[in-house]
Amino acid sequence: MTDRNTEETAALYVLGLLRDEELRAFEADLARSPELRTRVRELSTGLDAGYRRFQGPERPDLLNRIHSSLEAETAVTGPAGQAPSSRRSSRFWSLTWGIAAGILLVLNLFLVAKMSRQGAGRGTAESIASVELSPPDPTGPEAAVNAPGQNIETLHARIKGLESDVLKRDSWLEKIWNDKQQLIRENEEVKSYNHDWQEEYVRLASRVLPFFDSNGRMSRFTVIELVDSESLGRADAGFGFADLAGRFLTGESAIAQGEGDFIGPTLEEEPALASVAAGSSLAAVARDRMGQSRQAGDPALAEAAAPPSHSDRAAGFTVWRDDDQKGFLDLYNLPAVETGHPFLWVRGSDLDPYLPVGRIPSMEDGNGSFFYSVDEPDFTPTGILITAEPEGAQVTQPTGSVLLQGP
Amino acid sequence: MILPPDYTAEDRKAAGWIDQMAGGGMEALDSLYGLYHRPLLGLFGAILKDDFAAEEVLQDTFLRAWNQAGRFDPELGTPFAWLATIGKRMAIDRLRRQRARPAIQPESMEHPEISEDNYSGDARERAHRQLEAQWIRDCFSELTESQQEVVELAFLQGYTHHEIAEKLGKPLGTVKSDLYRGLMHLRKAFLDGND
Repeated sequence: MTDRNTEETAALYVLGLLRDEELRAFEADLARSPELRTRVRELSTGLDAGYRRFQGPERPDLLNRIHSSLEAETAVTGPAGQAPSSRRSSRFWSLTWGIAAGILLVLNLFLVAKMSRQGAGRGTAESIASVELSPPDPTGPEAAVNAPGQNIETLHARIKGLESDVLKRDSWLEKIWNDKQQLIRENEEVKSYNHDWQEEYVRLASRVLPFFDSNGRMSRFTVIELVDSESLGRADAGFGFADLAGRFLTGESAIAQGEGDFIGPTLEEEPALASVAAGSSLAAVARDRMGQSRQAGDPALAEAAAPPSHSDRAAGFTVWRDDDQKGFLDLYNLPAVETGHPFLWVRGSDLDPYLPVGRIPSMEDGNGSFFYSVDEPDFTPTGILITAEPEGAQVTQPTGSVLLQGP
Repeated sequence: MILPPDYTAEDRKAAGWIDQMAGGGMEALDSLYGLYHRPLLGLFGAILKDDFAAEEVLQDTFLRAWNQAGRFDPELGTPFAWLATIGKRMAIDRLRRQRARPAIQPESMEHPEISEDNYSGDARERAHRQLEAQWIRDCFSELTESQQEVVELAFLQGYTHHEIAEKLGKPLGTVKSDLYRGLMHLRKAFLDGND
């Protein structure tokens, strides 16, 4: 017999309102109690009974899209049902293990070669010693050559040679060890780089995608990156948002909102920045910004490649949908305005004046995302500006200092 | 698959298709889609108020159903309820993410205000959505005003019971009780209608 509290919780479950602990606890109860399962079924049947009869227009086109998605999923996932992200991950680890196996192989070959040489050397030394200890053979010409003094000299020379070989081998082993440690460090840096950008992708995806989910229907969109006034004109000013957002919106990357499904600008070929995954325009931006000569161990890496959420610089981007005439604005580290407020402006061409859009709501730590529209028919922004405008002023043109600007 | 005794003939047929889907039966997916896509699309449209988003949730619902067909448990609800639950959770997650994101507020009349109405400009689309929403609200019309309010907030707008209590200024216990009674009322209405 279920009590009232459990039945009320069953109602919350049916309505999809339980989360985390509550949900897990209830599902555990559900697994134990057939009576509770019956109650859940009854409640859900009653809830769905009304709208289940709703009959809108037939949509066979959507079924075709489902089939296409399933075909694409099968093609990408492969017969084993392996997710693309895990395959990507496997490739990364295969590469890492491949490098490690390669080092071990070289090390083993070296040791085998050394042992063979040492064995041969020891054989020569033993033969010399045996010659020394044996009575000289007066019949053979070698007897004269292998005189005791010469033998000892030769033996010393061989010993010195072996000692030199051992030193060389130790030096070589030390070099291999150092190389291995360097690879481990670089691997850690690459993992850290990937992790940061992975977080950035997931975070950005969760902010951008709900609004732009229907990108399959979008006729055209415009992406503009915003940088602070100090960074204007600098080649390394942006974070590559335009590439990032563009990749989301064109479906170039299958972005999912979970760590396990992440596909981003992963460094996976070799743990050096010069080998950022090919085909990733964002990665190319990062690589260009850091310069070809910098390696993963370069201290400049962390600062240069860090995602915007890890940086102190003000930045942002906007995506404008032409079909909906609506924009999405994502901001990072927007500085606080002491007297006044940040105000958004856009313009349709370089020759046009900026149009006022509205005041940007206050944000925690200067981070946030917003929607906006512009009172102009068939508008497409080519420039965007955020200024600090004085409180209470009726603004028609930007008057305050520029906080962010793009492009 | 053992089916509960209160399953209707349609439920049994749909449960059989889900079983076939678990074995890779693509035709069963088509049949299930044909039977339920219209009410589901209406439901998602009523929740999201955005046809594109509703269509995407519908596709994702059937994709997930295809991938998780083997996990369908008839004891927990009908096939329709299973599909509706999958899609409703996705729709509500989207709704919550959108709700968490404020819009830039214009300072004067010169600056246009963003509203739900001017987001999707097509009047026919809006009318269609209103029809869907009205249909679903009609389903709740037999509830008391208090029950209707909380069920609609939870079901159509994705508010949690905690949020509803805060929004309406009601004790949490009252909200939970109203939700439960509302669902029981719907259950009774369903049984009466089937008598």
